[in-house]
Amino acid sequence: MAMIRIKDLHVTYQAGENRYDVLKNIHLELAEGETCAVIGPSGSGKSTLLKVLSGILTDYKGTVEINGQAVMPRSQTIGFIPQNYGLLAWKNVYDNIRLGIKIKHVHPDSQNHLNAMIELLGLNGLEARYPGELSGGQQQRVALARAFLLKPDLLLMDEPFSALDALTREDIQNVFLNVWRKHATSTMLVTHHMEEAVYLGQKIVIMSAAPGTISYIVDNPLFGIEGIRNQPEFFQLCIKLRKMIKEDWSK
Amino acid sequence: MNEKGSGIWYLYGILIFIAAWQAVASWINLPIIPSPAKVLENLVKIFASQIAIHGFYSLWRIVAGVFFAIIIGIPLGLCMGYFPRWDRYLSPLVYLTYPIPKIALLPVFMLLFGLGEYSKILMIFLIIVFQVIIAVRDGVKGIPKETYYPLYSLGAGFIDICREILIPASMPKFLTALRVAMATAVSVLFFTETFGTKYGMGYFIMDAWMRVNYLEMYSGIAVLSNIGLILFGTIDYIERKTCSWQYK
Repeated sequence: MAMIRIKDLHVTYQAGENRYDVLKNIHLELAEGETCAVIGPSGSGKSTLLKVLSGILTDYKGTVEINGQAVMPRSQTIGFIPQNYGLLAWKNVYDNIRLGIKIKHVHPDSQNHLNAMIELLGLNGLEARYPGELSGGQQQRVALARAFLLKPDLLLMDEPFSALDALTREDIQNVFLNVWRKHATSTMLVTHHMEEAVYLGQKIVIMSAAPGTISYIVDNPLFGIEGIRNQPEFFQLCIKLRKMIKEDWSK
Repeated sequence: MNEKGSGIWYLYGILIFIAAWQAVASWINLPIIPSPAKVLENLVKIFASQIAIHGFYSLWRIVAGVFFAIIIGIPLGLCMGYFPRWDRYLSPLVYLTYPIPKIALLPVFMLLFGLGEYSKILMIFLIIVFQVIIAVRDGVKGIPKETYYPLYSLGAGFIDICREILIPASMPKFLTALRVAMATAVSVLFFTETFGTKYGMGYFIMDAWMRVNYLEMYSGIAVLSNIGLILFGTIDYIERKTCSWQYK
């Protein structure tokens, strides 16, 4: 059964007198425990799609279901990592990680669970620091720890690694995959890096802009293969997808 | 910042102030400006027996006024900052009443609430509450929308949002407003205490002035200024404890 089912999703945006279509005719299904990378030009409504799935944006037409239920942040557990990581500047690392389980009133199975997550993401010794004292990569690790600690039904990430330098980005992508393998959380991430989409997405959704529609959904045969990033197939797939995109976006 | 050192800097401020005072006193050399040593001697002599009770009354009035300004101003400011509708309805009301010189209303308050504590506390409350409302509201309005998203997606309610985001985020602006308002509140308190009471630093200082007892008058002024120092020091302390994150 599909974990996420989006049918006939339509989102419009009112600016003054005019209404614009932000998303039009979106159909998408995502299986339990699957990762899905959404790639598209700016204005294709990628972020809007995440806002709909996270329950932030509720003014839409069509069907959006998580586990057969309409999106309801109160009863579902949805982890959302915005572009700026969404850490609260006034909470230290420890309290930021705990924020999710605090709001959801879930007690982590034990203190060990939280500590294990801190360990897994390499945040030992940083617990008392504030986000302002962390590097971008460390902030992203905190955001991931917060999201995964909740064991979310669905994890949403909006260009999660785009503000990081190339080396840190590869590093954190591996951290993400590593944690994802342990928890098998259904994940949708928005990106504008083709390599990132091919590296992290079991499914790659290519969108086009004005109005935002889905052009292609590609099942990624290379997902999860050890060291794939350095293999020629990886580059070939990236080039092939880029070519598809170029033709599509220049229409 | 070296936290342990801040006490030394307070002492340093007091010493410079006393040195300047001494210089002016010896230059003018008239009884209207006695030397700090004489005032200090007088202060030590009469503090426990005469001034302390007045200081206590003044402090209690300020604390009560600030307390009410906080428990009314913060929730109002939070709601006005967070819910655009509240802001639309209440802002015009705030802007209309904020500029009214509260001190001009003192006779009215005295008629309505009596000459005693209520009218004085109400006066301090009215001076501080507007600044608290506006500072907290603007603090909340200045929070980027994205800050809320992770909490919305967790299904957080308004109480959660208040506790985790609105209150801590607007705290620095609130404390600054409190500092600015506090100085005005102390000056106005002085004025209100010259009416309808036999207790309070305002009464004590004006009484000494009438009796042409300059030593006592300056002792009173010194105590009032130290009350201010304690209040500001307390706000600084609270800021260090709760808002240290903004300097990271």
